[in-house]
Amino acid sequence: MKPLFIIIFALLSVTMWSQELFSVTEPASNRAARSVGIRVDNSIMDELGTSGINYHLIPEIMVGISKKFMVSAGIFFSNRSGVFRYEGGSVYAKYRFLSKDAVQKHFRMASFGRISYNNSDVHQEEINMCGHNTGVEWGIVVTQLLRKVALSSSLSVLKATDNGNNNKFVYGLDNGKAINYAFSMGKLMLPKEYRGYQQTNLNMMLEFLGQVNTGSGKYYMDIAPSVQMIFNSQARVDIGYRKQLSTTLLRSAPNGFFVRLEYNFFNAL
Amino acid sequence: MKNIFMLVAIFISMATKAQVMKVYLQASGLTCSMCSNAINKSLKTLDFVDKIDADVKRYTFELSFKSNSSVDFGKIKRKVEDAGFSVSSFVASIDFDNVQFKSDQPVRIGGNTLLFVNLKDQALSGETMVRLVDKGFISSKEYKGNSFSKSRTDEGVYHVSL
Repeated sequence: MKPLFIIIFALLSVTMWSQELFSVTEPASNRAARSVGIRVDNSIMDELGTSGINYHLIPEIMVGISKKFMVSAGIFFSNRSGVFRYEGGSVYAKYRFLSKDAVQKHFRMASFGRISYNNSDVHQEEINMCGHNTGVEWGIVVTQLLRKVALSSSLSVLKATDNGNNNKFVYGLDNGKAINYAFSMGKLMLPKEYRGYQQTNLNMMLEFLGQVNTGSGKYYMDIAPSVQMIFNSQARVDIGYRKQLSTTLLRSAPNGFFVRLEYNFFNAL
Repeated sequence: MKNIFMLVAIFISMATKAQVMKVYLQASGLTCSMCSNAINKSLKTLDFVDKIDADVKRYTFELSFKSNSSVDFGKIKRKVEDAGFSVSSFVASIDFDNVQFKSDQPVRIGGNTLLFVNLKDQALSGETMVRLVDKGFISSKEYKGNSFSKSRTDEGVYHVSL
C-alpha cells in the first residue's frame, strides 16, 4: 500500500491540476453539441490462474446531440473465448442537468444510462457492462473543476441479466444487482503555460473504482493510474494500468493495461 | 403618429451610423485546450464571423466580422454554450459616428438592439467598448448582483454598459 500513498501524495502535492477527460470513468461535462468522437478502447488483461491474456477491443462512436445530451454506441470484441470474436455491444447516454460555470471552474452533475448486450459465457461474479454482461446501468456523476484540478465521483446501479447465446447469469438472480462507485482525479502536467491549440497536453489521472453486489454483499476495489496525451486539441491517447486492490468477488482478469485512442470531429453534424 | 415616425427615423439613422467592429469574449467553465478548441470551432460556424483570435491561456476570443454582415450577439453566446461552456464577459467594440443617445431609449446596431443602462443623454463618436450585462453574457455571480437582472426586455434587446 505504501507506493500507492506516495503516488496519491505526489499527485496532490503538485500545484497544477487539470483535465476531467478521465480514462476509465466519464465526467459530468458533455461533448460539444454536433460533435462526433471516435474512440477505440483496448484492454490487455492478465487472466488469473493462467498464462493467458484477455484482449478486449471496443470501438465506439460518440455524438453530442445538444449541449446537455450525448449518446454513444460501442461494439465488444474479445479473445476471451479462445478466438478473437464479436461479443456484443452497448448504447450509452448522458444528460447534464446542472452546470455552474466560472472562469477556470465548474461544478456539474449529469445522469447517465447504459444498455449492454453480451453473447459470451458469464464467467465472473463481478458485473461489467463494458464487454462482459448483458444488462442495464443507471447513475449520477458529479464533477468539480477547480482551476487545473478536476475531481469527479460517480454512483450507479447495475442489473445483469442472462447473456446472449443462452449463456445464463449463473450466480443467482439475487446476485445480479450491484452498485458501482468511482472517484477520479486528473491533473495537467504539460504545458506549463498555454500558447496555442497545437501544444501537446500531458495529463495524469488516478481513479478508484469499486463495486458492491447488493445480493451477496461482496465487493471489489481497483485503482487505475493513467497518462493521457492530447494532440492538436483534438486527438487523445490514454495509457493506463488497472490494478485490483482488494476483492471478495470472483473475477477472472482484474489486472491489466488499457490504451484508449480518441479523435474528435467538431461541428460534424 | 408623429412620434412613431420620429422613432423609426431615429432607429434607421442610428443603424447606419454605428457598426460592430469586434467582440471580445471570455469563456468560463474550462481549463483545457481541447475545451477551448471546441468553443473556437463552434464560433467559426457563424456565417458573419470572419476571424477568431483565441487566447488559450486566458480563455478569451477576439472575433472579427465580415464587412456588411449582421452581427448577432445572441448567436455568439449560444455557440459558446453549444460547446458546453458559458460566457463570463462579452465586450463589443462599436464604431459610432456621432450618434445621439437618450437614456432608456433602445438603439439598433447591426442585428442587435441595445439599451444603455448607465448613459446620460449624450453623443458617442468613434470606436467605443460596450459591455453586455444580461444573463448569459456575464458571470452568474455578477448577474445575480446587478440591478438589471430583474428588468426583462424583449428577445434581442441587450442591456449594455459603457
